Amino acid sequence: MSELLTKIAPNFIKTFPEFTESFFETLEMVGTAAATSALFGIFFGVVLVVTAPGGIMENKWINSILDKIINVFRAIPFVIMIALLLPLTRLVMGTSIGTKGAIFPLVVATVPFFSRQIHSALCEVDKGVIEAAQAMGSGPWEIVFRVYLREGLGGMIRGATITVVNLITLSAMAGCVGGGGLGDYAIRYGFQRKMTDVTIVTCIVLLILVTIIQSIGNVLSAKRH
Amino acid sequence: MTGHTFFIIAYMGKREYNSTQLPPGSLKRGYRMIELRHVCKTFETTDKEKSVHAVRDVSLTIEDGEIFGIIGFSGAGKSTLVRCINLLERPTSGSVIMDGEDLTKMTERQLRQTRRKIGMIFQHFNLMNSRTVFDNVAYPLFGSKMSKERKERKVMELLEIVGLTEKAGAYPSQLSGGQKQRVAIARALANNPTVLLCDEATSALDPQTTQDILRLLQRLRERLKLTIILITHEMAVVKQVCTRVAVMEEGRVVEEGRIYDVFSNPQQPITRRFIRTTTHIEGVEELLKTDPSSLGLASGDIVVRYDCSGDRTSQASVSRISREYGVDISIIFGNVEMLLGTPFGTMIVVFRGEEKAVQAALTEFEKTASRVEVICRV
Ligand SMILES: Nc1ncnc2c1ncn2[C@@H]1O[C@H](COP(=O)(O)OP(=O)(O)O)[C@@H](O)[C@H]1O
Ligand SMILES: [Mg+2]
Repeated sequence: MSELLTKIAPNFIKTFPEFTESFFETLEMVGTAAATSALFGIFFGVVLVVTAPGGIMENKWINSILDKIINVFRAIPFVIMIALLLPLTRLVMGTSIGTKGAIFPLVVATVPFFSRQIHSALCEVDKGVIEAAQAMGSGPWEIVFRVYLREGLGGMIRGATITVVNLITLSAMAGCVGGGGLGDYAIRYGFQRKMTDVTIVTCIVLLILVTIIQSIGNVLSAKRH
Repeated sequence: MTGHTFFIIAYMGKREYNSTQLPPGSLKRGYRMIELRHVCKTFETTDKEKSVHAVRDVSLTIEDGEIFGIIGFSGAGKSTLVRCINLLERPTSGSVIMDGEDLTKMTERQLRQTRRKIGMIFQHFNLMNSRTVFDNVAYPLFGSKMSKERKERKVMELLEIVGLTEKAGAYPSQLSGGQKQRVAIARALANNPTVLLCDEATSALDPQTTQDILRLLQRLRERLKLTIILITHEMAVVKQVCTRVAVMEEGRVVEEGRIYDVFSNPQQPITRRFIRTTTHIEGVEELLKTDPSSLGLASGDIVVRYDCSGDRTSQASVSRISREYGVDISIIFGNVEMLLGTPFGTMIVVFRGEEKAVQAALTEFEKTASRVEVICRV
């Protein structure tokens, strides 16, 4: 096996230690950014739904301001976002390079995206069910935790899957600007030193990663009735 | 003429009630359960002209133990009105009084407590798809001080009442429409409400299942001493289970009364339209008024509508009076309705004969009926 690999992907085998390191960097970036974004995304998604006109905590101002902020952040291309955020990244994370420096822009870019995913997942929760909960005497918080987040879980998992896949792509892009991870690895060896096998293997690894995440997402969301 | 036959009228004389009494089965205690006072609900739009006046100045009193029907066509404001009762929709003006307390003056907290005493079921059941039948019924028990075991017992008890114990572990997607509505009913009863609001609860069900659910509601009313408010657009549902009915049109209650009165003597055109959906009597009357010749009537004939329900002689009285007064009485239409499980008969008869005799016969005839109305004199 390793002999065959040495034959068809000699550079990959040569740089294998760098590959493993980059791979775990990618996992770290994606994992940390995903966890942080999940927290904020769910929060903002819920706020969007409950403050919407006719929502259980209707609030025109909060709703339209949050809605606009999310749109603005979603409109900025990620590469530009990294550049724009540089000073803020340094302030928050202490550094603007490496994995640590990449996580902050990743979170800032992902939160609006995930908030939208959560928003649309929760919008699909049957209005009638919300009404029934209200009729049974549930307050707004109870409805958020016991109805929205539960009934909308399938859709939320689907949204999370798309978001994590998106994060992997973004994290590879963060690599281009010194963020570490598989993107960085592929650029340094595959592109700059023209080691084509490195590029190909990196792509395959990313593909496998995406497939695994998608499958997990599918299984989890299908379990919901 | 419908397939109903007259002997039904003849043997229904066993039971008694007339228009001044409440129909059998009602638990009248004269206690006001819910009072709506001048309730209005307007949905504002940016353009004031286009604001929707969904409910306009509705005042109703619903007594303890009633099954009160609210009937109206789609868009009449029925759902808005019923949602005003538990304040899912806050009335623009007016007050909602339940058990002597004004819901519109309550704090959010008090209101939530009060809502636990008002169960509600819906046309589309509104069950939580991510929860099993058991968990759906247990949902409103969250936060109550009951122990886990008592909650479990309570849920199983409720499932037993609606006949779904064996479905406790199933998900709503695995149930039929009727079963879903039963789960919704069990859920609505979890906090021992005194009132049950039903918004088109049978409208998504087939006729057989509708019957089952209506019978269940009637049983529940008796067993749990519930007051039920039943919204529907089907007269057949109203006449089967409601003690009283209010007819809604364009946000207003245009007619209200005991089911028997409304059925036997509708005042508003819209009420007649609804009654016509379950009986032909109104159509026959219409025909008589617009085109009496079509029924082969002769000059001097008197066409009379005869309603009877209760311990009254019926068909026998026709031949007796005919004999005694020497007038011809012919029946041109006959119909029997079941109102709240009691037969209510209607005939349209033609009196023919010497004027004085006919007049005397009519007077005698009136004594045998719940109501007699001269439709026309040809
Ligand atoms: N939330 C709302 N906003 C604006 N208009 C509404 C709203 N809810 C109901 N309406 C309007 O109020 C009227 C009565 O509706 P509804 O109470 O649902 O009637 P029904 O239940 O008798 O069919 C309709 O014209 C409907 O369009
Ligand atoms: Mg309606």
